[in-house]
Parts: sequence; structure tokens; C-alpha cells
Amino acid sequence: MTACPECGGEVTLHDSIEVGEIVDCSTCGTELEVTAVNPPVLERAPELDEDWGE
Amino acid sequence: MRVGLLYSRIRTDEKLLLEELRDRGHEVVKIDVRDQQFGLSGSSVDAAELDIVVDRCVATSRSMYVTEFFASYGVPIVNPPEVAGTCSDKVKTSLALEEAGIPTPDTRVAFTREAALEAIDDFGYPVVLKPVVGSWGRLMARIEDDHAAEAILEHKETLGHYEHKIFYIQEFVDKPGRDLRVLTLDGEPVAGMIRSADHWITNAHRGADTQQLEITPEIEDLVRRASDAVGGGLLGVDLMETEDGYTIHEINHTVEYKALADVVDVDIVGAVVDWLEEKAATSENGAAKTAL
Repeated sequence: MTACPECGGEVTLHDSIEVGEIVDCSTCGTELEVTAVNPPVLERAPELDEDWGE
Repeated sequence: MRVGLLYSRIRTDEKLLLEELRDRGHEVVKIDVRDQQFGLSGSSVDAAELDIVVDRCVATSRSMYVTEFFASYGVPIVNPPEVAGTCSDKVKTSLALEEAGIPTPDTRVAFTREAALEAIDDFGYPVVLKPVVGSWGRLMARIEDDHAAEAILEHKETLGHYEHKIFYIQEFVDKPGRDLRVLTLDGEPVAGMIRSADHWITNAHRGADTQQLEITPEIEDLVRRASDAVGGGLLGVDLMETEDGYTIHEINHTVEYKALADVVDVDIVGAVVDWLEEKAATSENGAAKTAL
């Protein structure tokens, strides 16, 4: 469990979490970026940018 | 091998790739491009220690420049900057396909609202307006009449980045509610999917239904030629069906494969890593530049 930096709600992370992965806070819906895994740290994820894609 | 993975966001696609590489015992160096500096004589990444670099940047602008830097450092990179440069720009892609004699939707580019309206008038309605750089079906317009055309062009001219003043106008292809995606490795088709939607935009990213595509000899020949036309590599080639056969409208250089892997009975990620291993084995890291 890690706290959501936006609402303080608890975010459950799976075992194979990667730095750079995006998770959703189930309480407030904010997209969060995993910036460290040991211990886990979450930050608000960057907003979608115009040049994103494949 | 030691693989550098350039990223700023780890999607499921990157996770699948990381898992496969690690399961095979390869060392992966995750390189968040947001944390790096790229200089003319070296970068904050020790490029000399990498056997191959895989560009998985979600931001096209970053992808275009990081590939240039790693190529200049002499490191094998997937995909090379020439491929990224062509595929990320719809004008360059259209020209490359046309020059290679590959069917592609008729397209015109205009730089002013007036010239764009003339081009639209020549095509007739409906007509499609796309950003020259963009993905996931965003900012595309299917224009049905003069009023909409005038309004969209005015908005793009007034509100947009300068790139939106390059009006990329394309014939509307009346596809049968679906388009096709084939993932290729240096032209070799690995697997394909059909993407169906009620909406005229049928990207998987926008929730299109997906199912496995049987790759016929005709499709194989077309995607091989399309891959060659843009320089090869790991690509997602998009085709539409018309009354006269297939037409290729887009080639993706940082192709997402999660949706494809979900619907085909082919080990997509395994095939990609097989190909990367071969690429790394046959390429030489000529990096002479040291880390900053």
C-alpha cells in the first residue's frame, strides 16, 4: 500500500511494479507514475501531450 | 546482451518487453529520457556499454532526437533516426510510400486556409484532415461540408502550433468499418489484427474491437515493401481495404503490440526479442564517445 499524493488514499501496487509505470488511484482516479519501487513512491503522472503515440 | 530501453512511460508493451528480455538473462538498462542530457560528444548514458538501444519513447519529439543522438554515438538503435523521422511525419510517410509505388490514400498539403479549401474542393466531401505529427487517431477530422472545413481550418490556423498550419488533406477512404495492423520486423510480418469500430477512426487505442488477421501473400508483399520504403525495423503497418485492393495509410515506428498480442496466437514479444538478439549480434557498437 502506498499513499496517493493527490488525495491521500491508499493505492495497492502489484509485486512486479516498474519505475515509469502508471497506476490509477482507485479513490480519486488520478493517474500516478511510479518513480521508485523500493520503497514505492508515486507522483502525479504527466498529462497526455500532443505528440504522444506510437 | 546489454539493452538500453529509452522511455518516459512504461506501458504494458514495455513491461512485456522488459519481462521477456530479463527472462532470457539479458541485462536491461532502463533510460528515462527525462533525466538525461545528450551532448555532441557524449551523453549522461554510457552508450559504449550498450549492445543495442530500443527507443520506446511515447513522445514523438523525444524519439526523433534521442535516436539521432544514439546513432551519432555509434550505438545500434531500434528504430534508427531515419525510420523515426519518416514514420513520425505523415508527409514523409506518404511521399516514401508513393515513391515506392505502394498504394496510399491520395494526399495534398497546403500552407494557407485558401489553398487548403481549394484542395478540399477538388477532393469533394467527405475529406480527411490530419495533423502531420500525431497518433492514436487524435486531432483528425472527417469533414463533411464547406462550413465545417472553414471552421476547422480557421481553428487550426488560429489556435494551433505552427505544425497545424501545414494542412495535410487526404481523400476519405470508405473502408468497411475496419482497418488492419501488421507488425513487421525488417519487413517480415509477425502477426496482424483487424480493428473494427462503428466510428470512422478504428484505432485500438480508441477501443476498436480486435481480432486476428490472416496474413495473405498480398498483404505480406505490401507490408514488406512498405517497411522497405521507410527503412525497415520494428514497425506497425496500417492498411485499409478498398474496392481496388489495399492502401497503406500509416506506419508506426514505436509500435504498440499489447492489443495485437492479446488476439493472436503468435509470441509477438518473443519474436521481437529474437530479432533484437540477432540485430545486436550482427551489429557492432562503434561508440567512441564517453559518458558526460
